[in-house]
Amino acid sequence: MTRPSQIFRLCISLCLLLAGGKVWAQDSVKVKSKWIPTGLRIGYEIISPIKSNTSTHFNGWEAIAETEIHRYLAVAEIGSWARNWQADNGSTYENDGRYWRVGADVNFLTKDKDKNVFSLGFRYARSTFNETSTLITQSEIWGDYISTRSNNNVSVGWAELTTGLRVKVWKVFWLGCTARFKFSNSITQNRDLLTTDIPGYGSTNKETTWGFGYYALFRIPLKKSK
Amino acid sequence: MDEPDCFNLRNDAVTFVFRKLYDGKLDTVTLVRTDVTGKSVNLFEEDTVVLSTVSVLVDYTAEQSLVKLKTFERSTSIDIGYRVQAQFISETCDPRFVLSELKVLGSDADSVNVPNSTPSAGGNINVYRCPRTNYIRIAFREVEADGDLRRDTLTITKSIADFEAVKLFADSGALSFVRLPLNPNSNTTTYTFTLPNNSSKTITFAYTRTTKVILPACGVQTVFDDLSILSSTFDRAELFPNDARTRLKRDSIYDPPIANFQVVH
Repeated sequence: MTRPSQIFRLCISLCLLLAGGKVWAQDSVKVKSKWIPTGLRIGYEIISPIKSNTSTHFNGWEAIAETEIHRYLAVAEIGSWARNWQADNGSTYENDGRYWRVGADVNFLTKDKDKNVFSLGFRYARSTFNETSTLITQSEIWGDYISTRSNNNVSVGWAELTTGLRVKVWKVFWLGCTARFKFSNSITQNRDLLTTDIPGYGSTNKETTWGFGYYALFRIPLKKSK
Repeated sequence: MDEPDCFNLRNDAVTFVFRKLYDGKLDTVTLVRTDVTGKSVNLFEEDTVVLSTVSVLVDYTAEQSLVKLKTFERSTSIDIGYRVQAQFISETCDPRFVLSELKVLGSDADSVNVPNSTPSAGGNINVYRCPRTNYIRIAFREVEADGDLRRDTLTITKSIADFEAVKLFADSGALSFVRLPLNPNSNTTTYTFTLPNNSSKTITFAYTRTTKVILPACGVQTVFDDLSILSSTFDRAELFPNDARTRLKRDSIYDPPIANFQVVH
């Protein structure tokens, strides 16, 4: 059961966190500042540029920043994603958009001296994109049909459950990966062109989808470890 | 990209449900042909088919289709509109077309409504008809040894009315009953049936006519009563005997029709 003194300490810690610096309580007792960020990792997803250079259907990048706060990680991600496909019958589809994600992870390796991370977390994500498709079909009854349709500034949100690893490789250089279970996308599909692919999310033909990212990161210490 | 299944790419089948305006219950029609925007789109293989619902494929490349449903009784045109959304599916699939917001833009049916505006999801358009007030039903009988009448069949190769009538039975096959329209512009109607041995039978019906508003949507209709047989070349022709268990009057017309007359040949 939580005691009043613990609640007081938590409140003080939150105040310290918001102030972003070292402060002293009124009774001149130094408060343990475990809620002060201890490190900032910034990184780049390394599969996207490889895919962009090897595939004619994809072009994109993704960057990540995460801050260690006690056993938690505050995470922000931003990316770009453009896709294009051509079907056997000549129909085409292309989209281009930006996306971001914010959320938090819980690190289960709290006693690791290198501050390696195995985490579970949650994200809220949002994508804004344009898409265009030229749709071609041949019907025995209705004849040949061709139509070009576009959607501009489509905005879609979704949620993600994540699990990830961050491993210190050398000094400030880290590697990591994150697996994502993406769900509850808010696409309304009320446009004349139904969305095929959401940048950052993926295909709309299923209610849920998976994603995976490999990251190269640099860690900047914000507070000297004891 | 993920490879979705390349089927169920279109929900372009619109289902029409034939109903009676009087009680809203299902009607049974003999469908001869269905056309959509001038193209025949029968979903059945037989020349004619007896049914209460029919699905037709509408034009998913446009947002409007003119559907013509030709039955033995009448030909009905229904101009329907709908929204067509399209989606690129994959590199190996054709595009997907999603029809919705179905509505009737115009129709010469007695009445229509749209209970379900999403095609391929149950009955979409109810096609109502007003009560038919001029169709009688004749049952064919034979005399048993004890003098009682029992059900029989008659093969009719041709039928001719003394007015421009729409018949409701096929010209071939053994029939246990026929439904015949009465001439709404005369107090008598004569039918001549040609039988397989090239002999013919003639029967003339007499009746009284009055006008009445049965349903406001149907306007003034002619009602036929006091049905009787004026003359006949069948061995025996008479009003169908009344059933004590019902209060149906055999000399009046009901919809759906009850047996008004019995004929022995």
